[in-house]
Parts: sequence; structure tokens; C-alpha cells
Amino acid sequence: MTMPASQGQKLPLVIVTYREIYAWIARLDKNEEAMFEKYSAVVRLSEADMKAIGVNRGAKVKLSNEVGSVVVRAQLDSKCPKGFAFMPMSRIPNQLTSYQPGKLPNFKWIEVSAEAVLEDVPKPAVP
Amino acid sequence: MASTATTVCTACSCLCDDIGLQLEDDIIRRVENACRKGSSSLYGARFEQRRSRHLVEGREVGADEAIDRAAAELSRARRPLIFGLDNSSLEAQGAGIELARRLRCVIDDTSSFCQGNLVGQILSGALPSCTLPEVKTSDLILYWGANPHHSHPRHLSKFTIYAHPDYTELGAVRRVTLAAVEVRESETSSVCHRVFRILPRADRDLISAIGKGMAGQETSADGKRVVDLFRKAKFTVIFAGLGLTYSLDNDYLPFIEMVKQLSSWGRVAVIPMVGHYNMRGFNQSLHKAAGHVNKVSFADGVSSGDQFSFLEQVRNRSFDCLMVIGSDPFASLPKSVSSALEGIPRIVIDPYQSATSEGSTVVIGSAVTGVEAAGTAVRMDGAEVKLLPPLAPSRPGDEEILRRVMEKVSR
Amino acid sequence: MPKKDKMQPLQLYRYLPRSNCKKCGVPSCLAFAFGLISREKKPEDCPDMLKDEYRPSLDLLKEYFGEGAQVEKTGLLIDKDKCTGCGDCVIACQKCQGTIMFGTGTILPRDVPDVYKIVDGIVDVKHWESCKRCADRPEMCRVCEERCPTGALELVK
Repeated sequence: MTMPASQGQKLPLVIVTYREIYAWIARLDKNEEAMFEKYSAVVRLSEADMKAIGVNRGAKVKLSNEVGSVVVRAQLDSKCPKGFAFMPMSRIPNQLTSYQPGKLPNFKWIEVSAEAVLEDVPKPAVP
Repeated sequence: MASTATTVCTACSCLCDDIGLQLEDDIIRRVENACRKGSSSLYGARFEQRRSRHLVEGREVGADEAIDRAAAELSRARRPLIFGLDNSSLEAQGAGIELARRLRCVIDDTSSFCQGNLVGQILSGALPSCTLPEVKTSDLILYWGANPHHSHPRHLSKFTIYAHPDYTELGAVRRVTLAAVEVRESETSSVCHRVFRILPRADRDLISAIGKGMAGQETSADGKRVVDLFRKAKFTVIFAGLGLTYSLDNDYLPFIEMVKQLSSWGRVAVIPMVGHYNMRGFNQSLHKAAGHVNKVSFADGVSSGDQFSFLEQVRNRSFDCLMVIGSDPFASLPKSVSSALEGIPRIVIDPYQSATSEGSTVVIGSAVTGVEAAGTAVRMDGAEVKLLPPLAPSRPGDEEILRRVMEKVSR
Repeated sequence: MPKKDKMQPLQLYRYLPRSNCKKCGVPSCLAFAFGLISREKKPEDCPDMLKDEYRPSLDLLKEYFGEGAQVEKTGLLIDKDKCTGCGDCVIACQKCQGTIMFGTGTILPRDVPDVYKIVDGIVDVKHWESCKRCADRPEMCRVCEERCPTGALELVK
């Protein structure tokens, strides 16, 4: 696998969460986890930020801050402003959220640093 | 035996009352008119793998034993806390508030980090509001920080633009305008006549730009366009979503000022896009009982304040027993907050298994309100809707459980 | 809102052999592209597409068109995974059941049962005969597709 020039760089981003109806539907699906993964484990990025991190659509991105870290798939959002990213509200972004007394939790302003994750290469079969 | 029924959907605070069902021996076979969220919540009631059973320390028990243990835990606790009730009927909320008063404890719900403050402003008269049927007489519908197609899917077709008598697909004259203020390109903005896209947390700037525009001062291009839209409207309805609440960080003063100014041009009404189907009901019940919409402590008469918000209580570990009714704070709160809940005895009353019910001291499986248990709920506009449960209850309802706990609590 | 990534006939044409060999039964490759969109043809109906050199194009078209798409009599294709059951199409369709008499501005209402119904949270065509596309003098109305917020409705004819 060739590594894009910018891969490995950490990019500061602000994540804003939004509602996603498909997470509800996943609750009743036999294949709940896979469906949840498909619709909720995603981050929608602007084209410029995707380039800056060095990922393509569908590639894995690691988002981390002092609270925790998650690995999700990148999706292109052509209308997303540079420096921001959107994520469906679920237990996934909640791994990154925090709360300051007297304020609301930062569900709609999560400061993270984003970096590309090399795809899991399947282990060679034991001869 | 096959039969048909009409029910009220309790998947969101639209409380759609035109849901047609085909039933066969207490099993739903077909759901008509409900959106995907609604139909999944109706079918979900008979999805046994997801329903919760009565448990005491992980051991399956009868309802009586679970209720006895819950009452014993609450009696033993010095500072219990009651949280939730947004997915319960008004009757159950009344019982919950009564229990909190008897236990002299803190009671709060998700509205303290959701739309509670906005509902409070409406109940106190600081913000004008109207009912959803009245929206049909408006000429400007503005969604601010909301994407109803994902949170309240039938909102547009049942209550707002498409339900509007002046809305037509034939002819070129537009008598009612649909507009949105939002940060991302959403499904709702894709069908709006006018869209104002702003940066996250720029709502306050837009509000001040509108204020300037209304005062005749120089303002931003977006501010000018919004002012032009408002100027033409005789009756504006603003649906305020969580995007606005979080951007303003619950400080509605600039928004209230803007609405006040706008009211001099024509009628303006604000309706909160409440998430849980009876969150506004909880706010109204508590407002009636204690004069505050949430964050109430009955420890010393009635007091309310930020120190009684669930988040603050958890952060400071200010309680020694937590009763959660129909809510899942473990999944919906920041992890740093929910991890502080570890080690505190929990009593969970919920129809479904959740991250919160897992590892709880007591779990009481309850009937799904609106599907199995009757009651009344309050729609996002404040109208009371009588629920019509189509299925026979498989477990006791929230109200019954809370009343039975109350009987056994010694305080 | 029409499907965002909807391919137009000329875009599809670029993936085809463009030889106008007529082996597929239609007069040209562009006509075949129209046939693909209306789901009357499948990518593998073109014998040249089965050749190795067109393999990437064939795979792409197969993925784009998917398997077993059921086109309604009105030429409508419903993406059941995307539909949220919001019912916007139901009401928008109701509101366009009329004919404008241009010049006079009068609207002649059509007294017909609803085309759509939401069943189990997903849109379903209940009375296709009410659709203006199926009238004696068909009117190529696209209101439902245009009002669908998720792009779940696609009119392929």
C-alpha cells in the first residue's frame, strides 16, 4: 500500500454532532452492529480536510482528544466548512465528549485531532 | 384473531395520532402512516430479546421482589436522585414527582441539557408560542438548528409546510415560505425555499446581525436576507432545534430579544423541537408542581438551580442511589460524566435493555407507554394527547411501578 | 430532492462500448443507456461489456444499478433503505393532483385516491393508476422525486 504524502499528519478539527434516523432502524435489525457501524461510525469531512489528513472516502480516521479516541470511516461532505466535521450522535462521539460545569456538554463542539489509520492488513495464513 | 386499531405513536414528540395498525393475536402485523422511527418503535415492543426483565443484582426475579428491593434501596439512601421520566406518561411523571417529594430528593430529566430552558421560557411567557394546528395559518416557517427529517420525520408532512392549506404544488405563487438556519447541508434544507448556512456556534452572530438589520443599521448579507424574509411575513413560526440551544449554550436572552423585536412587525411564535415524546410533559408537570421545569430539589422545601442538574450531581457524586426511569444516561452522556456513575447503586425502570440497565442493582421491566400502557402525553407544542395502546401490557406500567415503590418507601 | 449521485444517460454512455452494434436489441449505445436507467436493460445485456476490457465498467454499472430493482408502473424506483417514511411525497402528490388551466389560472382538481401510502415506515405505491404519469394523457410529473428529502425516490422513465 502506498502512503499519501500527508498521511500520518494530525489535523485539529471541531466535530459537530447531528441526529441520524438510521441508528433507530438499526435497533431492530438482525444485523444491528453492522448496520450501526455503517450509519453511525462515520465522520463527514470537507474535501480539503480529507486531503490534509491524507484519506479517501471510506478510509479509516482516528479521532482523539484528552477524553478518548475512536476510529471511524471518512465520508465526503462537500458543504462541510474547512476545520469542522460532522458525526451522527451516538455512543461513538460520546467517547470524545466532555462537560464543563455551568455549560452544556460539548456535543456540538468537540475539539479533536484527526489522523489517518492504515487499513488492517489481513494476517498471512499460517503455513 | 385479526383486527385493526388506530394508535398514537410515541417515537418522538410529534405524537402522530393517525397510525393505523393491523393486529393478529396481540402481534402487530402492519403499521400504516407511521414513519420509520415510529414503526420501529411499535414493532420493537414485541422484540423480546431487547425487552428488559425484572432483575435484582443480575438475578431474574418477580416484579414484587424487584419493587420491594427498589423501595428498600431508596429508603436506605440518604440522598437519592430521580432521573428520566421523559418517556413516561403524565400520570407516571406525576407519581415520580410525588415520590421525589416524599423522598425529599433531587429530580431532573434530560431536558436540563436539552430543550428544558426553552420550554421554561415559553411556559413563563418570555417567548410567544402557538400550537401545531395554528402553524397552518402562518406564512413563514423557519427551522433553526433542526433537521426534522431525522428527528421528527413527519413534522413537515403532518404539521408544517406540506400540511399548510396555502402550500400548493400547482401554480407559481408562493404563499408560505419554508426556511432553515443550519450548519450542515441536511435533508430538511434540501427542500427549503430559503437556507441560511452558518458556521457552528455562529447563531449568536446571526441573531445580532438580524437585530442590527431590524434597527436599520449596516449588517451582514445573511442578516439582511433574514430580515427581508421576516419583514414580509405576517405570522412567523420558528422551530428551535438543539443546534440553536447548544450554540447559545442555553442562554436564550439574545434570541428572546430578537423575537421581541420581531413581534413588532407581525406575530411570531416559537415551538421547541423537543426530542423525547413527553419531555415537555415532564417540564409542564414539574412546573405545575414545583414552579420550575427541571433541576429541582425537594430536600429543603422546593429549590432549583444548576447545582441540581443531573450532570452536576453526577460530577460531584452528590447522590448515593440513582433511580432512572426510561432513560439511558450511560449511552447519552459524555463518557467522562457517565463513568462517575460507576459504583453508585442504580434502580432502572425501563421497557428495554440499555447501557444503563446493564449492571444495575435493580432493573424493573416496564410496559412500553403508548404501545402497552395507557396515559396522556404532551406534544412539542404543549397540547395534551391521549395515548391509545394497541397491545396488552406484558409488564406493569411506569405509573403502577412508581406508585407501588412509593407505598413501600419508608420516609 | 432527486438522487444526488444520479447518473445521466450521457454519463452512462461513457462507460459503454459506443460501437452502436445493436446486438443488445436497441439501435444505439445511447438508447441502451436510456434502457439501463429505466431498468429495462441490464449492463450484462450488452455482449461487448462481457469482454475483459470492459470489466471495470461492467462492475461499476452493476454496482450502481444493483440487483433486483423493482420499477413501479409509474416508472418509480424506491430505495427502501433510504426511505424514512416522512410522508412528504404522500402529501406533495396529493397537492399536485389537479390540472392548471393556463391562461385562466383555474385548477381543475382530480378526484383520485392517494398514489402513496406509508406502510411499515416505508413508502408504498397503493394506487398507481392515480399517478398523472398513468393518466390518459400522461403528464410527466416529478413532484414526489423532487420533494423526497433523502433521495429515496427515483423516477426512471
